[in-house]
Amino acid sequence: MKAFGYVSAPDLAGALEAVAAGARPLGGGTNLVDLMRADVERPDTLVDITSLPLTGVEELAGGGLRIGATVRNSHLAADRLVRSRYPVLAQALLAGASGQLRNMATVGGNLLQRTRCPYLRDHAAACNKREPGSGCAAIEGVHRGTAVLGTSEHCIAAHPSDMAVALLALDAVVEVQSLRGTRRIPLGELHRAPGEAPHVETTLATDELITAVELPPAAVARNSWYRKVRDRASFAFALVSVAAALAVRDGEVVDVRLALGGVATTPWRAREAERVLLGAPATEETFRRAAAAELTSAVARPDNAFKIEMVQRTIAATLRRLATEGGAA
Amino acid sequence: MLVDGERIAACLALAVQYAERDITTIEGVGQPGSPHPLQEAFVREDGFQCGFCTSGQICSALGMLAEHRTGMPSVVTPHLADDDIALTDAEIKERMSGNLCRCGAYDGIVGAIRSVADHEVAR
Repeated sequence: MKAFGYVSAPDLAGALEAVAAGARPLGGGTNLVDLMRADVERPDTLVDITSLPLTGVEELAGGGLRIGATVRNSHLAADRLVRSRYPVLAQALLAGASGQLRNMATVGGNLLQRTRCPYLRDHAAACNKREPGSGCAAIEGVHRGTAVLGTSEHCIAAHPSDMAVALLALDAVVEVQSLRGTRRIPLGELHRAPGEAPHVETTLATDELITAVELPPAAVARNSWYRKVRDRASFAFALVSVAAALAVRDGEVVDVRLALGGVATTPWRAREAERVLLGAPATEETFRRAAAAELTSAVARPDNAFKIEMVQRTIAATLRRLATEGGAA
Repeated sequence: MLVDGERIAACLALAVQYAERDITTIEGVGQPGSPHPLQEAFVREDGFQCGFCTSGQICSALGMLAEHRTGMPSVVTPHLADDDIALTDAEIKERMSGNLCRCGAYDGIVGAIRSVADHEVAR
């Protein structure tokens, strides 16, 4: 592990100055410290932002929610408003990591966590994320856990977050600050597909700090569910996951949100499936047809091809659950 | 370990981030000759074999029980918006999944935690 400097940000202005000067923001450290120990991340300086007043979960006028960037994952999952109005988010948070890690991990850090593709931390193998231009060992190597959507010939690593999948289904907006000012990024525009530059994982500038996430009001979200399929029942990353919210009236889908995890290089909003579902009868046939429509652009490799069928079945099962038994609240 | 009573993973914690905080490790749980009720329960219920994971299991379980008392749900909670969440075996297993036991003493660990939780409820 490379030696590094540490400063605790006294206030937001101090944090933004440190980030502008090249310091890496440190939240719970569950991903960054791990990757520093693996010599994948080699920051010169860390700026600890956990003392900043970014720890609130506040109701917005009009019914939305503003979530501070350093709110711990466990605290957000336990929030009464999240549990009743956005249960898919509470469920996704609780499906991630373990109790200990959820008490450490922050919302901003969760959004910026890096892939669990094993080659990212394998210094003996090629990885375009760790060493741009070195190649992608996963394509011809161990790739059972990798993505089938949003891949390129340079990287097929899956995005690991559960929380981000639920937030994407909920149309979350990310508030970002720098010394230059504040901007708001729809979550769907925060993460970058690998394309030609897999190491550039977000659209954040190097001097920008995530300060909050905002959720607009969404009546449909009260009937929502996060289904995560994994190799073991707990404390494991998703093979595939589905965040869904569904409203049915007179047998017809009148509102729907659908996002996928484990299958794509970024949290993946299932817009094609949503188009098929909206206005269609809430039947198994529709659910399967919508799922199939979303996966038409999938690119399978020998060991991850199973995800294409698995995620379609999981989409259908999640929608069926919401249409019959109802959501997680 | 416990930081201000909340469980975290010490292996990913930079010590400098926790300056001025109240840290509890297994050394701070019980006293020689008068173990904590959860430590007694681990002995009574066969909650360990080699003992390597036991300090972490006990600290984690204390944090987990405190989380449950505040109403924290888990991913297996049937209705997330409920106020009273019964600490079933399924809940204990899910909430303790961050602590691995390579000897496989899980049944004893769950039994020990359940007996202490039941005692707390009865009190």
